[in-house]
Amino acid sequence: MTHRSFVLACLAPLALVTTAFFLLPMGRLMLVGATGPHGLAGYLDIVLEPRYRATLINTVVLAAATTLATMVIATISGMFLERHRFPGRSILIAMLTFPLAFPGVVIGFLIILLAGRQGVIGDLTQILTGEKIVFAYSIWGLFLGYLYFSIPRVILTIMAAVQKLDPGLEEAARSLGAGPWAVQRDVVLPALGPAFVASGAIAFATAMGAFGTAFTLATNIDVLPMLIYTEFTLAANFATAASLSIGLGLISWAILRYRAHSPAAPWRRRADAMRDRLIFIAQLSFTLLVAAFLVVPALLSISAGITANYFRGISSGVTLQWVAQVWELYADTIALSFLIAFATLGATLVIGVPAAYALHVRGGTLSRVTEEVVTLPLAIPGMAIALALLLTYGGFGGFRRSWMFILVGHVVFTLPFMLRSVMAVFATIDVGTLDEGAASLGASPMRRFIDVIVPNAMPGIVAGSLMVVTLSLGEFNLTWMLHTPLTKTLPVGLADSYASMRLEVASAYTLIFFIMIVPLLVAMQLVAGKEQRA
Amino acid sequence: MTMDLGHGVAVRIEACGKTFADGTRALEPATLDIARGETLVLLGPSGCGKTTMLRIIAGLETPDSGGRVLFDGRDVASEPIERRNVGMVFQSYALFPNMSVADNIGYGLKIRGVSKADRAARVAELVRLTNIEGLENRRIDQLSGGQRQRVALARAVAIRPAVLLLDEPLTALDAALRERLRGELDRLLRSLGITTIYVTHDQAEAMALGDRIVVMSKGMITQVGTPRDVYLRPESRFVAEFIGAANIVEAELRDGRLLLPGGILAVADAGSRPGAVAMIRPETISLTAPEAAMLSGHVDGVSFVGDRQRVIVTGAAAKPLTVDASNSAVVRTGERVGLTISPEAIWLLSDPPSNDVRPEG
Repeated sequence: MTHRSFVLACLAPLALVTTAFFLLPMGRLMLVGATGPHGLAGYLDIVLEPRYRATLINTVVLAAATTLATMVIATISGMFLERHRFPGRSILIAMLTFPLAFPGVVIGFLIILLAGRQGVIGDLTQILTGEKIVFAYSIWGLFLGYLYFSIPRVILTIMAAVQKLDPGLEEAARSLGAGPWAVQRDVVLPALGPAFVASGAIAFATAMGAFGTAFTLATNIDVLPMLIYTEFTLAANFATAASLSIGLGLISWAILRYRAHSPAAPWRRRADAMRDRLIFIAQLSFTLLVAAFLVVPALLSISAGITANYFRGISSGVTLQWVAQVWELYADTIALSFLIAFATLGATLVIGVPAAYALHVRGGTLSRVTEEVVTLPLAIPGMAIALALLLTYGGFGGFRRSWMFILVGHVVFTLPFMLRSVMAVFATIDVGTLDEGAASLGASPMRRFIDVIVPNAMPGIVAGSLMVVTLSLGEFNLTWMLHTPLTKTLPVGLADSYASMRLEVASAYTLIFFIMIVPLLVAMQLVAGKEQRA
Repeated sequence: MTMDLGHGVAVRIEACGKTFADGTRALEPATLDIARGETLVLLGPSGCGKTTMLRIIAGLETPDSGGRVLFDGRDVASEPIERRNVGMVFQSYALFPNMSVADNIGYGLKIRGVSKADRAARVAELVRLTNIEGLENRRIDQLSGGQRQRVALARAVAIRPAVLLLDEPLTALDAALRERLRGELDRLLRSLGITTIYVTHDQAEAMALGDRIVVMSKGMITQVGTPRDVYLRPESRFVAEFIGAANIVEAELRDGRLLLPGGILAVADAGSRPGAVAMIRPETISLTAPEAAMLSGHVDGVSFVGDRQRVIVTGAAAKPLTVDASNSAVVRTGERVGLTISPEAIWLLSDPPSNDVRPEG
């Protein structure tokens, strides 16, 4: 086999899966969007129909507010953590980043524990003011949920960007006479600009399309994903649901694709020791507060899961009965989740690793377009993809009813992560020359791929694998739409228990989810840390 | 230390040009013969097409249609690199980070199905030959630049290649190490006696290693010859200036004498023409008392470089002349000096004179 045909063969599975399970369904979704009473004009309803327009504005305002708040919080804490070394720093970082893999449903539940009817904020305010403040089920609860979701991501991006900043740049600016403020304004912030823009865009797009959190908090919060969900499942209004999904997808994609320049909060360098100390303490306290916001609800959930009666508090006794009950009720969802997660991993490895290699060595316009198309699911809300799959393959009864249907959704959703992760490694090692080196020694294209390419891509493969498994285990947005009563995964079961079980059972179930997901997260951090040191 | 490694093949490239997809002409159609066992150096500035030519021989690039690559008369154009049995040392070495030093060296043999024991023996032999004993189990990232270079060479030679191809193998190293490895490489290549094609932009490296040098410029071969040929008898001004330091003197030639602003110079050519272009190497000019020479000028600057002094003399020719004087000579800036050059040391080039000749006032 010549090298050229080997590279094409590497791309074949990717082309097949993307066409069958992403492009075709998305095309179908677009067609269905135009089948309503207004035909193609149905696409304009999203801005013309007053109710839809109000929802759209609501969603955009909420997403923008989330983005802005996240950026400010994450910039302060991220810069602080990257620029200072102090005891307990790594624990603080771990606390700030562990919610990375929590699906929206879980975050919704954590917000309920924080600000719901039995929430800790309600209890505190009752003690302090005599009045119970409950806002989990309103747009404020959703805002808090999105913050919870976005902060870890954005902090990580900003920390990485600050770390990569060449100290020589700052030193050069100072050698040219720039004062501390000018250095920040002219050198540091512009250098961080791309990171601000990238993480801001991600925060905005996820807030636009997130469904799980809103679903857990209340079905009557007026945001676009909820509207689509009710139109599709309750009103059986397929055309509207489809056109709204396309609209939502387009907005999210456009935000991620055409990242405008975003302003960023200025950050000053220390001037003298006294002020330095004060700033340090202020930043540390702020960061601790952020960490508390992320950790306290999770701790509440864990304690609720092992408390005999949460209403009466931990004094009612510690018990494992809720965990046992969950195991009895939901063990099959856990097993199915693992089955799907590892099947997803297998599929993304087989499809993604050869494709990443092929896209890297081929280069050129076609590769760039392919990469763009394949990574689209990162930008399009899971809900739109799920609807597209349902509208295309919903008629194939056997397939629709099997767990394979969920698997397909997970593969489409996680493939970009594997692809990106492996391609990132290829970008740092000189794959082309290694390949030529092995070829000069007589190895065939296949042999080269196995002996040289794959072993050297290992860090990316491992990181991508951990991410795929973690994402698949926690995936809710797609899975909720694709599941059947017989194919429930863990997050689906979680949503179930949040809706119908007592708080302790729901918490115990969440606890089981934490136990499964946290080791994966720790492994992911370790791999990332090892990469950074290497 | 001579070993029977075979002497490789004779290589012929025939009308090989290369135009890239974007329309860039990297190499004009060129024909070149490399004898069995010869070390041929492709020398030129970056972008001259030397690496493209090497990659065509390797099988990493296909020549434009009409071009052929022959190994011992056999056309190998249709064979990809993995079937050409070439040993290649890359500029970045391309050592596999996922394998140890020994595994890297033995990889080509493993591909060829050589048994484990034979492989180990051969690896040991090469480790000895390239002076990297004790490093066999190291990882690649634990090696210094010089050690990597040796491993890359050992790996390329291990497969007993038909041709050894080296793409700027010393460029990534610092100057002192480069010089030392150049000596080692020369001894190794001589002892192997294998057909070798060596790409470099460093003329000193080319002179030290090549049986013949191919000087290239702008995608074309400008001269092929022994190091002595290209240094002493360059065929063009480009070759004269690219290899070593050269004074290019443009002047009228009348009856075997060059008429210069500061006097006259006798040359070996008895002809006459208005615009002769001559090359004079700095080390062939001796400084004398002004009245003892037929050509004189003023010392404009002296720099002491250790083994000699580089003296700039103005007023002798249209442009300042560079003269290498012994490091013990007493030369002062501003003083008038005579210049003596033997007629045989003045090499007349066929290039036309440039237009920017300005007589000094």
